[in-house]
Parts: sequence; structure tokens; C-alpha cells
Amino acid sequence: MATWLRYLVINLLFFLITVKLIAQETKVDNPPTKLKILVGIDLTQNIYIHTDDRNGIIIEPIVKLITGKYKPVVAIALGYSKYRVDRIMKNLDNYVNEGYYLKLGIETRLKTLKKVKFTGGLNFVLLKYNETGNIIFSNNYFEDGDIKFERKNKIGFGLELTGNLHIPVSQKIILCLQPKIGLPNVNYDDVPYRGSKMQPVYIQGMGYTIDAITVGLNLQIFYNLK
Amino acid sequence: MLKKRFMKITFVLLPAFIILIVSGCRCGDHVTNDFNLEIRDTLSKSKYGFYYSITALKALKQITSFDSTNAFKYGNYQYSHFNLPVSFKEDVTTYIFKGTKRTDTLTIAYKRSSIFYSNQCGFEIQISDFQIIKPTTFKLLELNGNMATVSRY
Repeated sequence: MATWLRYLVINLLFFLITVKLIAQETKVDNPPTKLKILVGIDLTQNIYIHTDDRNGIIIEPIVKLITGKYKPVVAIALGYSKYRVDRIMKNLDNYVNEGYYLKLGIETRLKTLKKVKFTGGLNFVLLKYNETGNIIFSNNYFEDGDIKFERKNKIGFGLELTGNLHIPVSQKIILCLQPKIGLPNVNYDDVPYRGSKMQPVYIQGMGYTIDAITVGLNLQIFYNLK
Repeated sequence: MLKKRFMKITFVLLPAFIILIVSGCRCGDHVTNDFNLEIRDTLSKSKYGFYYSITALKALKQITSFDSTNAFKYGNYQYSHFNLPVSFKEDVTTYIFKGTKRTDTLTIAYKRSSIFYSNQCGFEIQISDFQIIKPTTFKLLELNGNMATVSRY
């Protein structure tokens, strides 16, 4: 079984366990307003982070509190990610990044087509992470040397804009396709493949490359608790 | 009309293009990490002879051949200059100077640290705090940063 598929299955299991646990503990007695609680998990990162030279664990539980007509709602996402990359940024080898992140944002409905809802959101992203690796240096005369790379308790933050396409699969299960765009600092301290599933987009010209924005596409699955 | 539009586009794009070039980076040697060694000899070298090669312990290849053209005379002395690459694997590099009449050795110690340059260029190494350590067949005359002047006993 492919690595990414294995992690997808793990995440799905985690999702089902979370849903079961929350469902057992959540009791809403006669809510005064129409309140919906969506609990879910993000599936996307596992698909494109688990390639030959990257592997890791990414768990991102998501909670959405929906009031009335989905306008606006609070969206909270908590994430944990750990992954290893053989080489990034030209000479950083055996790179390991482990971190926790919190996304807090608002989401509002833009359009509804039959049962499919399209919403827009703005998230504030805050994360804490540790990085380790070996920086490799070489010249023509000696064997390669390395210097230990370590950054502990780093904090990153930024903003991201999301679009969300909510597709109901059944009465209780909702799939969400989420394209998003973020400011460069959401890409977290110059390190690509951070936990937010963001990919850097480069503008190239005359042999120069600069960081511009980050974009991503997520697939999330939600369970409607109420 | 077409000319006006062209002027407008140029007016907008040219500054953006200049900013792009100025803000861009070119990967390469941003930091020089060689150790610059100057060997002071008396004008009469008959006692010590001439170097014909310089190697280093654990080096993959010979570092340089002695070239008398990089030497200059000043007063009663002749100075020869060498750019010696250091090993990034260890904090110490020992050089062996093979000459016609004798072989000299020089060991330098230094501190290795890394600097983040850019996503594209990655990290660069910075070598600092050079020291000449014993045993050596040279006499240290002056050490300033990554430059040292030595003489043969």
C-alpha cells in the first residue's frame, strides 16, 4: 500500500474515532438557535506530502460552529504535523519539522447551488514548531562537512484566504474542497512544506526567483454532530 | 494610441522589472572561507630550498603547487602568498608544504558556523576564529582574522 494511502486510512480512522468520542460526550439540550457543530479532519496533506523523499504524519482536526444560515461562522482548526525531507533548500539534509498549529477564522456563505454551499473564509494561523537537520557544505578539496541545524520553539503566524465548497455526501457527512491563498509568512519562516499544506509559488525572471504567495488545495471531511 | 499604451505598459513594468532584479539573489560564493597564508623568507633561500607542492591531511587532492610568481620582495625579505582551502568536515586542517630541502607543516584551528542566505541558495558556511596550533615548523609573525604571516625557522 502506498505510504500516502496508509496515512489517509490512518487519518480516516482517527476521524471516525474523534467523531464517535465527541458524539458520545456532546449533549445539546434544546438549542435556542439553530446551531450546527461540524467536526472533521483534513485529508489532503497526506496525498502530496508522502512522496519518495518526504514522509510524515499530519493530523488536522477541524471544528466548525455554524449558526443560522451559515453567515458568518467560526472555524477552528488544530493541527499536528511531523515530517522528514531528505533535502530542502539546496543543502539542508535530513530535515525534520514537528509542530502544532491553530487556525482561527471566520467563514461566510457566498452562494448555494442546490445543496452545495460555497463559502469564503479568512483565517489567522499561529504555529509553534521545532526543526532539526544537517547542513551540508562542500569544497573541491575535502570531503563534505556538516553542521547540525536546530531551531527550537519557533513561532510563526500569518493570514490565509480560503474558499470552501461544501458537498453533502449524506445527511451527516460533508465533503469540503478548499482552495486557498496565503501571504508569504504563512509559509512559515522560509521553510516549504510546512504543516498548512501550502506550496510556495515562485515568480521567475532573468534567472531570479522570489517568493510571492502561497497556494494550496485541501480536501476535508466533516461529520455533522448537530 | 498604440504608442501611448506601450508607454503606459513600460511605465508600469519597468520599475517592477528593476525591483525584481535588485531583490533577486544569485547563488555563489557569498563568503570567502580560505585561509590566507603569507610565508616570509630571506632572499637567500639556499638553506630551506623551494616548495613544490602543498597538500593537506585527509584532502582529496593536492591543494596547490608552489608558484614563485605570486611572491614579492620587500626589504630583505621575500613574501609568498597562498589561499588555503579549509576542511568543512573538521575544525582543524593540517597542511604539508613539500620543499626541495625540507617539509613544513602548519595546523590551523577554526570555528565553523552556518548562515541562512536564501531559500534558493540555502545555507552558507562561515569560518572564523582562526588559530595556528602546535606542532608546526613555522614561526607565527602575525595573525589577523583569516590572514597570517609566518616564517620558516
